[in-house]
Amino acid sequence: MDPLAGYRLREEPFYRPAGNEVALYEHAWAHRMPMLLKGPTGCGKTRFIEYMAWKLGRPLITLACNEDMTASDLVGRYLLDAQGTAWHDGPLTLAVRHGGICYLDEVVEARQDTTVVIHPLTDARRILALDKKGEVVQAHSDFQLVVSYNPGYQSRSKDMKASTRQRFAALEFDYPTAEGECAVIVAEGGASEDVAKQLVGIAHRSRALKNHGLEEGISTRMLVYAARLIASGLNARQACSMTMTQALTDDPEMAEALQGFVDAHFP
Amino acid sequence: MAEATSPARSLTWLLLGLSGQALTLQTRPSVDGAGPAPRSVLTQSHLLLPAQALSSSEGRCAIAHAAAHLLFSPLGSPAGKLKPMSMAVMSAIEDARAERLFMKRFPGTRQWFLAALRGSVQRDKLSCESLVSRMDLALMDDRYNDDNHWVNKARQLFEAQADRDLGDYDAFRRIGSLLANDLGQMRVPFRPELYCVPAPYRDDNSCLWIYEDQRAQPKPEIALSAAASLPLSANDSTRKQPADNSELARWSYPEWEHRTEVLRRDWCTVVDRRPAWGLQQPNSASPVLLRGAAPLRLIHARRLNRAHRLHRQWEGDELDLNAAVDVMVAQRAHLPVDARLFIRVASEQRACSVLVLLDMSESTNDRPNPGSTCLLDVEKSAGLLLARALQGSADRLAIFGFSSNTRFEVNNYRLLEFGQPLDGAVQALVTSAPGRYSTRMGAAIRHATQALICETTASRILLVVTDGAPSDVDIHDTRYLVEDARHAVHTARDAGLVVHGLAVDPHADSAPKNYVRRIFGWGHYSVVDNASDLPSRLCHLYARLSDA
Repeated sequence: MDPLAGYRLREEPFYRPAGNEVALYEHAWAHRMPMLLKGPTGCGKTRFIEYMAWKLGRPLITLACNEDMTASDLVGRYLLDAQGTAWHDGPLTLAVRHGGICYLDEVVEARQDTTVVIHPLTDARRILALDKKGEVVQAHSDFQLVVSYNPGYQSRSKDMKASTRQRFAALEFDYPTAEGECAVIVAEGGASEDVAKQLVGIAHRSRALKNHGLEEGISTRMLVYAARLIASGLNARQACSMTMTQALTDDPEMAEALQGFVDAHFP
Repeated sequence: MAEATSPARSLTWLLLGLSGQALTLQTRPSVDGAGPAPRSVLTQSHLLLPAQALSSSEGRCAIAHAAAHLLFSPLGSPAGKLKPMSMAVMSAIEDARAERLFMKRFPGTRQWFLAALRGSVQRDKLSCESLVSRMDLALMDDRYNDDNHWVNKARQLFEAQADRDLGDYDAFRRIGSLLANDLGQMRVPFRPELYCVPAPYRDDNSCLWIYEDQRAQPKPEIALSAAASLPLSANDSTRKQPADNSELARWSYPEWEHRTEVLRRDWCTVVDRRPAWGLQQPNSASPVLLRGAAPLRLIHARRLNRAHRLHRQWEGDELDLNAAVDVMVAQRAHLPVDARLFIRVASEQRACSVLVLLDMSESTNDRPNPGSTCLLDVEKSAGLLLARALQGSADRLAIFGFSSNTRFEVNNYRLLEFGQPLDGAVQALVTSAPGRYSTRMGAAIRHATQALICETTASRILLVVTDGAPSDVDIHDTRYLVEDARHAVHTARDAGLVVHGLAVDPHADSAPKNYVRRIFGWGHYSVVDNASDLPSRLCHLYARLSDA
């Protein structure tokens, strides 16, 4: 029985390449090189790795990192059952043992001492030491580690440790070009070309406000959400208010400005 | 929602988003009495809105109109010998053209303009303003019917050209000129001093034109409003050079004589001072602060105390063996099982105290290149940014500034005390502290050490910011004060303080000067090459040192 069956992708995820990132990734995969995907929130990093996992036919084990995550959450821990204590592999160990792509989303959210456990996995050794269990797992030949992070969003003090980040090859992502973003919205959100154009216009307006009171502009993901609601019959302005204005900010003045963009684009 | 807050911020953002240009929005002081109703004024850097235009719908229109000009209108065409009436009509045509282009990009704004123009149309009189207002509406609203020949002619010419090419500014200018000519022939009275653009949301169109005599001097509106926004200080001339900075206390400190290796007792006098602070002119204060720098988000890596473990937790990294044994015993005995059997590392609320010691010698007033900010202001901004970032955290921060005028007068400005809340008074105090005299660092470090030693927190950090080697007018041996400062740093370390130096001087750690390493020791100093990096470096350093 395939222990990673639940992590395999059954359908092809939609992904529209912005450049030659697919080819670049395939080269890196050929060497099982650890990859770092960086870019703003909602620009398609996670979708890209899903697409690549599907394309390469590998299971994808995703972990959203957070501040409370410990090394045990990655590698596994002893739990108690009727017979006594029993070891349970964590998601990283699963991927290492059985050969999958382990994707640590927003890796800088995890504490730096947690991410150190990936160091021996990401150099020539390719081993994972389970010190509590007294076992050293040699990585499966199909194991690859991929991490993502958003360089703009975090504070400087939360950057990756230099010793961690230099173990990765990096791919930079950004929001697609206007035409590209339109195509994504039409394909993913089911909106008409016209609506997609206006939505992209709103997003561009909001991205101009980055660092002027907004931490991040409206992302492609938000546009897709809005397009879906519009396609299912909701009034465009209400859909935008729901998925963009109110979702992006709590500041009433910023919300007013954003809604101004929406009103300017949708009569 | 909109009523509760001033709409200015949201309007600024709206303008930035719609036009892609960051302009300063200001309210234009309303003038009472006769004369044309005030209209907004658009310049290269500012948009002045009349106070009454700030209701959200009208303000929004004004912003959209200004953005239309910024995006599509050629600003500052030479007025040459054009008559005022020609300029008024040409401007109205240009308003309509820019808005038409704008509405192509932002279809929703049509509703905004339409509502505003319908509200401001003047049908009754046969004045120039009334005709222009009817033309404005006719060019916007295709369902509007007007019985005036001139208005219909304007619409016909405009629409014909709009169908051909909206981007052709000169063609529309010719239409405007033609229409103005007609208006003249119709003998419609026009009084330039009383004329104002009929639609209240539109600007006065001064941005479209430039007059021969106007090129040299700044726009009067800007000068006027800048003057109005200055806080009034009663006697400006006396404030500029505070004669006396109020003295708080005097302290005696020793100084190290490196050649004889003797600590000279009670050699330096440190004077605690509070800067005399008046209302400073904004342009002399730090520009970083004025622009309302985004509050720095200083996220602490959560400090964990590995020595402190919480037993019998519901969740955790490791099994609590004692609890596990109890569970097994309970299971065998068929007793109820307590499933809390993990150990978790406790997080720790360990506060630290930081004292930032700023060099406020005369040299910090220098500007690295003309027009840039002087180091003193950068230092102050850095200190205040750090203070703002630490607000609400358990960490305690003090900011001192020092300058020296021989060993008898080492001034120590107490800008922010430990535990003092950061309020307007502190900011005023910090911005008004003067930079003068020299840099007798050793005495200042000894004094700061005394202040830090009284702190009871677990870690105590002294950050010294300087722009050059220690010096004073009564010392000629360049090594003397360096060695003295080094001695002071060592004494502070012996007392359990973390001391770190930040030198805003690219040559601080290279020959021939190489003082910073001598004073603070290897690994305990940073060199800041570019003064503007100081705030981020200081905060970075804080995060690193407070974490250790």
